[in-house]
Amino acid sequence: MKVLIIEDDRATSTFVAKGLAKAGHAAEKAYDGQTGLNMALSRAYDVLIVDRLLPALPGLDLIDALRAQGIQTPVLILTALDAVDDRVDGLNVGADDYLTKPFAFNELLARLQALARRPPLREPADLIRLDDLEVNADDRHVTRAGKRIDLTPQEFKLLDYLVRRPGETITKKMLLEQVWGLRFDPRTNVVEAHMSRLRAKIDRGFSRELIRTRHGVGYVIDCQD
Amino acid sequence: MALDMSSTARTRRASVLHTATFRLAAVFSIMFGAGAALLLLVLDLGISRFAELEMEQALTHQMEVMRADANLEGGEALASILDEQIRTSTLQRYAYRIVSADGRTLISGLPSEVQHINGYGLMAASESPSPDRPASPGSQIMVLTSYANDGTFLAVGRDNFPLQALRTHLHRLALWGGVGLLVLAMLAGLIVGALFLRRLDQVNRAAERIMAGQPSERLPAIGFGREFELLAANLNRMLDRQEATMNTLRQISADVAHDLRTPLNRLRNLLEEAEGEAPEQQTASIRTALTETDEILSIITALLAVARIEGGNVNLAFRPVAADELVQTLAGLYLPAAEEGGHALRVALSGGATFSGDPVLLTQMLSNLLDNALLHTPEGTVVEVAAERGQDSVSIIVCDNGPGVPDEERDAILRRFYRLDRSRNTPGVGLGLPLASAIADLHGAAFLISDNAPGLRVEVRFPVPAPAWAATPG
Repeated sequence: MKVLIIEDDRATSTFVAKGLAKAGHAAEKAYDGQTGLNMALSRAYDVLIVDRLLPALPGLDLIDALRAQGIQTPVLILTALDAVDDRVDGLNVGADDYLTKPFAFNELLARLQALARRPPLREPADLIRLDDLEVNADDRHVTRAGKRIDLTPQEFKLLDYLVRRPGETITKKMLLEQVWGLRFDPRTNVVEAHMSRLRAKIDRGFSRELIRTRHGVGYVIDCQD
Repeated sequence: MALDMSSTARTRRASVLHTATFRLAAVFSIMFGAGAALLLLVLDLGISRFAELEMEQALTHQMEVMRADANLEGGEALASILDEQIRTSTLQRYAYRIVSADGRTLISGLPSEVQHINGYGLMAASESPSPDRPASPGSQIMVLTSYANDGTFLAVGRDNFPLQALRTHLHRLALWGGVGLLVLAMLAGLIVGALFLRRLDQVNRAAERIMAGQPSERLPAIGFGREFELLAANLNRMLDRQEATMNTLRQISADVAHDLRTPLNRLRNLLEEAEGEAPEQQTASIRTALTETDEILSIITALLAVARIEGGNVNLAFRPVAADELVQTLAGLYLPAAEEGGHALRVALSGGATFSGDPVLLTQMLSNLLDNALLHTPEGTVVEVAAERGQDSVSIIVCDNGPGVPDEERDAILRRFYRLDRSRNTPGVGLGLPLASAIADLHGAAFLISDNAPGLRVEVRFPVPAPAWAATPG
């Protein structure tokens, strides 16, 4: 994955670049909006990280200009601002995801990977098959190895989300945001409890464990090993 | 804080001539004066025209009589009749001039110039008036001329002095009346302006005092009418808001300083110890330090959220919210975790009640309340989340049958960082309830904590319809 980091705080920039390198990805850096824009327009990247508050050209304007030029590279906004309307502004201008500082590097990595795989989600296929698991989005019918599995609506939503992103690490935050629309972390371990229920229904008693935990990061549903 | 005091001082000394009241009074009086003048002008013209017509008619009538006589008995006979009339009668309404066909002037009550007039005409009155009619400069005589059948020249005229006098009177009235009106209006304007200025001065001074550092003071009433009362009330409400924000900020700084010091100290100690540890132990210490740092960050985030919400600095996006849907979504979210923790979670619905609110904030609020109920009650507690329809309200209720909160502490639990003794060792720092309460405030909803006998009952009651100031369109 080739990433461009447009961030004026050198410490953050270096931190992210190093982390990406360790994870086997390539990262380039720009320290102001204008340079960032020039680089994004002249070279191909898989995903861009843009800080909102940049010298020379503010992040939102940069993204706007990028999109105006027809560049569809996925963009993740990184910023200390986190009011609801800040997020909305960011997404309206054409960004694809929004992460507030401080962030855990793993969270950032998981989201970058999710973005880089776009267009990712298989088109709303009615039937999704993963190993011997079958998920029918139409009638919410789930079977594994031919056996019918009963899920609550919440559990189904969760499974549906995972199953459309095989092999991608999904963080707890992503699930809270995208399955339940929550922007904050409840103190109760709601996601873990849901996941363990889901796994009990989907994995227990079957040949292979499809849903895996990546410690400190999130969950993955396996496609192939 | 450097304030531009010079401009405020200048305003105070502002002349009354610059006040809005004075200008308004000036405009009104000019318009009124112009209107009155116009009216008098129209009146003037109307009266003149009327009088003119009257006069014409009278002269016509006279002329008819004269001609009839002249035609019947001849011009000389007419002249002698008129002569007799003039000599004997005291009231002379008309003046005459009769000239025979052969040029002899038989009656010369009108100057000879009248012979040049054909039909109706106007002449200056200077030379002709009879003894009892005072000559007034500028008055005129209206004349009518004609010929009798035998060629006698006949002319009759009438002085329009009364009309002129009337018109002059009207003009004078208009002038003095207009001037008087203008002066009165100006005076009134000046007086009201001065009164107003004084009242505004008080308001300005109060504002200066507030700016100089007396945030609790409020602006006095401006008086003079409803609009101004509303203005003063709104300004004062703004000041209330500002003071609340300032207080919140002050409190936040104090809270942050105080309550972050402990975890930061812990962190520092950890790192200090780690400095001297062997590399294998250091990894573990670093991990603990990271956890501690995350904890601190989450405190700050929560504090900021509370502060922002309490200060009203959130962009509210109100829309109709289905209470049942809200309750069911969150109950669904929490159910597995609740059961895992040994809690039973129950749901009660309202059957379709809706109210106006910001869904994002409401979700956060309900989540906080559920967190509270689940984290601060022991295993085996039953927690119920319900949507209820009231007479003119919709309520969201979270209650449990756990140990509850002692009466004395029920107000205190809304304070930031306040934690019950028995909760000392549970996760969290005590920001959940303040946040939930602040969100309720933003919605104009009542946040009611009561004894569930046993246990705690938290009810958030949303008025339906929402109060005007709360339901801002999103």
